[in-house]
Amino acid sequence: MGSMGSSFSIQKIAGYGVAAIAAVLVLYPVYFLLQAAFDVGDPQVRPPTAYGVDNFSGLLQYAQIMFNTLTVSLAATVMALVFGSVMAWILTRTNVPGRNVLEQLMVVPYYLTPLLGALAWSLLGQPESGFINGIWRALGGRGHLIDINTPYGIAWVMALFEGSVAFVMIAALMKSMDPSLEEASQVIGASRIRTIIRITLPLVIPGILGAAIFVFAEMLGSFAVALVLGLPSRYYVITTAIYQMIQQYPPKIQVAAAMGASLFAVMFVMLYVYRRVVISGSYVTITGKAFRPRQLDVGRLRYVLLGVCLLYLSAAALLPLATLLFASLQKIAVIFPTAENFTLDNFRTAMTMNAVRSAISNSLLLAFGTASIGVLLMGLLAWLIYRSRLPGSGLIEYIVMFPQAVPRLVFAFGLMWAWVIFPIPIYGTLWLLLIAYLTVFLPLGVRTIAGVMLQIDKSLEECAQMCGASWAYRVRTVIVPLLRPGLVAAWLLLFIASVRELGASILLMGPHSKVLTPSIVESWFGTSSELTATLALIQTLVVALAIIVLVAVTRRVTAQTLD
Amino acid sequence: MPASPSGPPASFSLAPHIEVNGLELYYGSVPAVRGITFNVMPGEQLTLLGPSGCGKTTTLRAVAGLEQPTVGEIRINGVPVFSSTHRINIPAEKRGLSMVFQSYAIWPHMTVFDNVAYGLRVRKTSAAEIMEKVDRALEMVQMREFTDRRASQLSGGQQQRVALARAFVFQPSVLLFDEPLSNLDAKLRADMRIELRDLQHRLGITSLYVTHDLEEALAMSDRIVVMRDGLVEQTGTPDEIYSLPRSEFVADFIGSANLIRGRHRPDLDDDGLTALETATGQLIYGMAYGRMARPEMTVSVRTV
Repeated sequence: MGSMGSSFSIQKIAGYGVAAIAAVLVLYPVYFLLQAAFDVGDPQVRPPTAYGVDNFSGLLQYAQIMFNTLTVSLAATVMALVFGSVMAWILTRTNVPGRNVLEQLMVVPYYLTPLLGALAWSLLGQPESGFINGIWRALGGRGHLIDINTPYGIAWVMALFEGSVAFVMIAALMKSMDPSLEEASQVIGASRIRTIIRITLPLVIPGILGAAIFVFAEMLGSFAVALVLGLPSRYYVITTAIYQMIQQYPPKIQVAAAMGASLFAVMFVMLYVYRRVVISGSYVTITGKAFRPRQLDVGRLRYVLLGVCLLYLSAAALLPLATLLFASLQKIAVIFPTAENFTLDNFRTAMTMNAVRSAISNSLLLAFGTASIGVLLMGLLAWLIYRSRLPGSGLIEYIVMFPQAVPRLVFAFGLMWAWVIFPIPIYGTLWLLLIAYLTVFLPLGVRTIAGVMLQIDKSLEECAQMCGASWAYRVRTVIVPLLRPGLVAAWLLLFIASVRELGASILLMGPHSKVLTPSIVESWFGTSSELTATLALIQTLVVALAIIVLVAVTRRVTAQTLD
Repeated sequence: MPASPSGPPASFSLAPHIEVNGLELYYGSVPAVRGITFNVMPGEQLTLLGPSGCGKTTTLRAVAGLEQPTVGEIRINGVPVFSSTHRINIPAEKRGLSMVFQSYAIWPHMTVFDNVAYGLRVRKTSAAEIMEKVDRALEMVQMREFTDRRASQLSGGQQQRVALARAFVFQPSVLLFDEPLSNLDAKLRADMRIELRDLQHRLGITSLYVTHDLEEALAMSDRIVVMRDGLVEQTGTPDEIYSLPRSEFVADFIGSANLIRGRHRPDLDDDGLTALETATGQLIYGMAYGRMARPEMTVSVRTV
C-alpha cells in the first residue's frame, strides 16, 4: 500500500530532478550577475567586500550609449514593423501573384541570421569600399551614396532581419481575424475606406502594438549587427559596450554587470507588458480559429505589390547571400573584379586551416550535444510544466521562460562570472558552452515540445495508466511515440540555434574551444573579409542542410498522421 | 449523507465492491464535489447522472485515481485506495480498475491488436495468452476482422468497441465509464447502449457509469445516483428515480414533468392522497409516498 508521499516516486524524482537542474541553470548565473552589479568593493576580490548601488548611479556617465541604444532600437523597430505589416497585408489580404511561395520565403531572412546580414551589408555599404558605393562612383556619383556604419545603417540591417519576425506575428494576427466582422460593416452600408478605419484598424492595432513591444525588446538586446557595423566607427550600444568593457584591460566588470542588469530589467518589464497586451488587448481577433481572410482584388496594382515583396526579399536574403558568395570567390573583394582576381583559395583555406576546422567540428559537436541533451531535458520540463500536476509547476514555467528576457550576452556574462570561481575547471572548455546553450535555449525547446504536447489528448496517457502501466512504461510506450514529431523538430531547432549562436559563445569560448559564429566575427576583425564571407557561407550551408531535414521530417510526419 | 437508503437488491447480498464516503474535491478554492457517498455492489451497474458541471465525472475520476480528492475515503473490495485521514492515495495504475474514456483514447500509433493487448503486456502475460485473450475480446465486440488495422483508420463506433475491448481484456475488477456514448450519433448510441448492457451482464463485471443522458441511465443502470452541484440529489433504481422523484430538480431533470406548486390543504386530505390547492384555487390530489407534506409543496405530473 502506498502512502501519499511515496506513491509517485519515480515520477516525482524525475520531475523535481529536472526542475532543480533548470532552476540552477537559470538562477545561478543571474545570481552572480546581480552580485557583480551591486559589488562596489575591490574588483579584484571575490566574493565582494562591499555592496551598494554606485555602479548603477555611475551608469549616468554612459548616457550617450543609452541614447545610441534607444536611437537604433526605435529606428529599427519602426522599420521592422513597416516591413512586417506591409508584407503581412500584401501576403494575407491581397491577390498578389505567387502568395504561397512568397510567404514561405519570408522565413529565410530569419534563418540567415543578422550577423550574416551585417557582414554582407558591410561589404555592400561601407563608404569607401562598399559595392553599392563602387557602382555609384562608376555611374559618375561623387563620394558615397550610403554609409552603413551609421546608426541608421545599423537599424536598417537589424530591421531587415527582425522584419521577418514582425511579419510572422502580424500575419498570424491578420489570419485570425474573422472576415465577417468586416463584411458586417459593409453590409450595413459603410464604404471600404470607412470599414478599414473603423473596423479593421481598431481590431489589429492591439496586436501590432504587442508586436512592436516584442520587437523593441529584441532590438534592445541585439548584439551582432551593432558589433559588426558599429565597432569600426566606435558607435556603441548597450550590448556592444558591455562586451567591450569585459574584453578590455582592465575589465570594468562591475559597471558591465550593472549595465547588463539594467538592460535585463528593462527587457523584463517590456516582455511583461507584451504578455499583458497580448492577453488583454487583442479582444476579438484571437479566437484560436484560423479564418480564410478576405482577399482584396487589387487589379494591376498586384504586380507593384509583387515588386515590393521581391524588393524586401532581395534586401534581406538574396542580395546578402549573393554578396557573400561574390566576395568569397575573390582574392580581394571589389565590385568590378578582373578575371585573375577570382579564386577558390578562400574555400581551400577554410577547409584546411586548423583553427577553422576545429571551430566547425566543435560547433557541430556542441550542436549535436545541445540538441540531444536539450530534447531530453526540455521534454521532461515540458511534461512537468504542462502535464504533471506536481505542485510548483507554475513556478518552473516562469524560471524556464526567464532566459527569454535576458540578452544572451548578459546571460553569458553571468555564467562566466559564476563558473570562473567554480571548483570544477570547466571555464574555457566546450562544457561551459554546452551549459550556456542548454540554458539560453530553454524557452525555445520547451515551447516547441509543449506545442505538440498540448495537442495530445490527455486521456491517451490516462488510459495507459488505467491499464496499469507505470509512469516509466507510459513514457516509453505512449508519450514518447506520440511526441516524436515535436521531439524531432525541437532537436533540429536546437541544432540550428546552436550552430548560429553568437552572444553567449563570444564571451565563453576559450582559446582551445573555438566555435563557428564567434570565429566568423574574429575573422572579420582580424583577417580578411573574403575568408569571413566564406565562413559565413559554410555556416549558412550547415544551417540550410538542417532546415531541409527539418522540413522533410515535418512533411513526412504530417503525411503519416493524415493517412 | 448516509449510504444509499434504498439498499442493494437481494441478489447482491455481499459486501460493496466500491465504497465512496464523504468525498469532497476542490480545485483551489472552487468546489467540484462537495460531499458524495454511495456504494456499488459486486456485479452491479451504478450510474452517476446529472447535468454538466455537477461533479459526476470528477467523482468517477477520483475513484479511478486520476484526480486527488481533498477529503473523504474510497474503498475497493474493502481496501482503502484513498483516505484523507489515513493519508492513503494509491496511484491509478495500482488500483486494479479499468476505464472507458469519453474520447475513446485509442492510441493512434498502434494497431487495434496492440491497443487491446496493452493492459496484458503491462501485466507480463505470455504471448500465446495475449493472442488468445485479445482475439476473444475483439470477438465479443465484433471487431475481429480489424485486428491489424491502424487505430486512425477506424470510425467512431469502431474506436468505441476497441476501447471497450481494451478496457475489459485484462479482467479488471471494476469498469469505469466516462460518458462513453456521448460522441456517437443517435442511432449508434441506441444500439451501443443495448450492446454495452448485454456485455456487462455477460462479463458480470461491476461498473460505475457516468452520463448526462437520461435515457441512457434509465436503460442501462441497476441503480442511479442523481447529482447536482457536487451533491447527491437522490439515489435509487431507475424506477424509483423516475416514478418517485424526491425533489423538484430530480422530477424536472428526469424527463419533462409538469410541476405544479401550491398550498397543502390537510383538511381535504383523503385516504392516503394529499390535497394541494393551486394559486387559482384548483384542487389536485397526489401521492406523498411516505414523505411529510409541508405547507408549500409541488406536485409532479407526468403523462406516461
